[in-house]
Amino acid sequence: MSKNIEVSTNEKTYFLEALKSGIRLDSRAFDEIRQPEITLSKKEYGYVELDWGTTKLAVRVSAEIRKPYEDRPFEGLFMINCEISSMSWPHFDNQKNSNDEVLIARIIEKAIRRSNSLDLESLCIIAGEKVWCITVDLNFLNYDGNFIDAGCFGVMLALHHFKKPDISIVNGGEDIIVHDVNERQPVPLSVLHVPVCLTYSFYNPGNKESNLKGEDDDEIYLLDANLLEEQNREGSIVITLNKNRELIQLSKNGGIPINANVLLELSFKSMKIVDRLTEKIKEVIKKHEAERYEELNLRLLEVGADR
Amino acid sequence: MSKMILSPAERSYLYDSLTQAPPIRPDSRTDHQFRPLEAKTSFLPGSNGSARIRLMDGSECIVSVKSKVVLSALESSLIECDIDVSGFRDDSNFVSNLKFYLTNLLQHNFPTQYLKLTSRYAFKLFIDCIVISHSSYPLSLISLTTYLALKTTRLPLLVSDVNDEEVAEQPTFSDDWDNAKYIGDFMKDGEVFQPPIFITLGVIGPNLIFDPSTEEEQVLENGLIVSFYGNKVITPISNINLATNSNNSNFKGLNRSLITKAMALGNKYCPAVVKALDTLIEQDDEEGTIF
Amino acid sequence: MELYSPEGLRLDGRRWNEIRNFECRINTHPNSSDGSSYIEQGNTKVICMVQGPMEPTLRSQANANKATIEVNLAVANFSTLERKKRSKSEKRMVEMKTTLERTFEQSVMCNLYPRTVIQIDLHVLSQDGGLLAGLTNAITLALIDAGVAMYDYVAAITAGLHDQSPLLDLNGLEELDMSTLTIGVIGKSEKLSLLMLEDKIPLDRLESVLAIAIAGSHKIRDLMDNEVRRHGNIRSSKLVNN
Repeated sequence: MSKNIEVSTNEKTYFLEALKSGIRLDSRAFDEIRQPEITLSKKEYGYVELDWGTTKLAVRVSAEIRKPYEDRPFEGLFMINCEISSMSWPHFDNQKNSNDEVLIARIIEKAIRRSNSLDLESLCIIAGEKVWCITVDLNFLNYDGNFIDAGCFGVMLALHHFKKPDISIVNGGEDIIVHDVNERQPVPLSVLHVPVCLTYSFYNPGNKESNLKGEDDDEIYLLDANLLEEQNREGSIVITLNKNRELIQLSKNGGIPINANVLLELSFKSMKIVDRLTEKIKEVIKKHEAERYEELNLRLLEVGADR
Repeated sequence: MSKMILSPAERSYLYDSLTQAPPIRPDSRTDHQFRPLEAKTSFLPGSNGSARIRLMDGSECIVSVKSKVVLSALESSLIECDIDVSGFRDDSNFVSNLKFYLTNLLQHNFPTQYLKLTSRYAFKLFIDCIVISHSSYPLSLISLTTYLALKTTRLPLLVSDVNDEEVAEQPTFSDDWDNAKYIGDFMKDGEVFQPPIFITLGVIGPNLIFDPSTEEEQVLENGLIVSFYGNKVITPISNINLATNSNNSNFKGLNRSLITKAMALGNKYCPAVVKALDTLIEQDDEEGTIF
Repeated sequence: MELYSPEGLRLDGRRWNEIRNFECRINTHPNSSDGSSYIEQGNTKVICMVQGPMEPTLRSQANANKATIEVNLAVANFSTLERKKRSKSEKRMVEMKTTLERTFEQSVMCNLYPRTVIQIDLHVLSQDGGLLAGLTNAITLALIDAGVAMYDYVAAITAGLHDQSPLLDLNGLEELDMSTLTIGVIGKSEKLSLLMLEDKIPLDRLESVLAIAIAGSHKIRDLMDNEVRRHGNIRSSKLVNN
């Protein structure tokens, strides 16, 4: 990220003063996330567009058949590609792998891939020979803060939405037939749990030294910061949880320190939001499935009527 | 890494003192004297051999030797070197050149027959050098450290059969690390294990100075890298501008009589260098931390 | 392999709340750096050298308000049991480097050194668990040796969860088998400047793991403080004698 993006002093002071009197500029509560708006593709499986406030992203999941790694013959392959271009915000470097991009990609990858959110063994077709390789392409289209939470949510949605073509093994395991999605109902992925990332940004209204020494703890914590809030923050922490009350990831890469009690408090408070977001994914997918099924049935009926 | 830049007056003064007969060196060394060094060996428990050399100017190099059992038919060489110089990219010319010099020297001048375990298996040695900081051209520092690391390299004792032509079995080793042997222990009576080393010589006027320091490098007319193995100077002998990345305006062609002189000096003084290194190993018997 | 026996002993004979042998030295490279340190946390061994605050070589590194901190991380090929060639652009390395840079940007009083760069070179000679923690401790010591103004020590340590019981300062084998929490604590407070957890732990166990980790890092802080004071005494006695 280029560093010559400075907020004017006036704007910064106004923003911080507002925070001190308990007001966020977009009138959200401190621990309120922006409402995600979800668009699931009706034509294909595994394409999702997500509007997280004005942060916007598109996720596509694709599957192909590959040879597994030699040391893990029973496991399918799973990759998440994170693409942050200057399209989303002019100040992102177009050159690859700036530190921020690596950090964002790593955190999303650790939340989803490393936590075994996807059942890799279910992707095995013939052990040691053929497995499904699931690739997730995450493209950020517009940046208004909080790529991590939005990205993680988007990927999980897309994984639920995606269906891989059905296959049958013939000739005693020598050949496999991949059935077209129109020929046979495709199979959904087996998702073991839904990790949800929540990013808290902190602001220290008081003196820096006394804050670091732990003399005063009046930091302000904002959930789901937008661009302006992110630019002014003095530190952040990503907490990844799932609804089984498992802590999947804690990641605090620098910034002003956080008190251990506050960390615990934030983690516990987050559970409510995690439950809500997980529920939201289930709900949206269920509704979408129902709609699709209806369409399918209609067509079947038409065929019946023709006879 | 502070690259000292000398003023024209200093350069001229230094040049004149070094071209005297005998040369007057700024640190009052004689022409064939090395800078004092401090060494420590066998401090990495995870490696078969390790050594560290520090010079008074802060230059420091750490070398580790690790062994791996390989099928000798599949390997092009039983020795592999890698060099990492702090502050330089791995693919830079500077690092690649150093790596080439060292690899080339060791691959051609090493008693690899003693690394053979059985008719099919052998030890492969991985020599990794890290140059933590350096001011003068670090090749000689790297090679002297490698010498120490190789001399203190211990390999586990083979307990399975040496002849495995008929039976396809993997070699097995003694569990007791006390049974491990130095490479020199495998050698026949009368033979000494003495890995090859590089020394750097500065050419200035009619003089050749051993182990030039950074300041001396800035005014040299040429630089020589001489290899020494089996108690004599061997090829390759190459010339190089030791003051990398500086505009040394004194640099010029090399008089070939000086090459003969360099070989003679090498034959005369290098045995003492090797002996000094061996003494360092004998003196250094404390186990444990490096600092 | 039993990581934690019913008698309460770990693989290397430690109890749950014991740290590994922690050795540290400062001023190990007085001739080649402005500040240096060497730490051994069990078999994890790190050399750290600090240069600066100095004038940056690149204009872009100069910030008019504060010092820029640059971390270079070199992990030796021979640092693990199995030798492995490593690239410096590996994602894990970049992540670690960025994490360290951002942690110390806050703990160092960067505002005192505008338009300068503080360069931190790390060499990992051997790794056996707790790498990020070891690196953090080494940097803290080297910065102190360099005389760079800091608010307080940043002492780091790992802790993990085995079944129900939290274990302090995991070694390499334990780290492979359990989820590991790395924390960096400011001085003797309960303020966390660095947090990294990469595998699952039940949310309700977080408190117990955090508690021993904080206690452990206070121990590390004391050990580092002892070394700094020991070295300081040597220096001041030299001053008196001359």
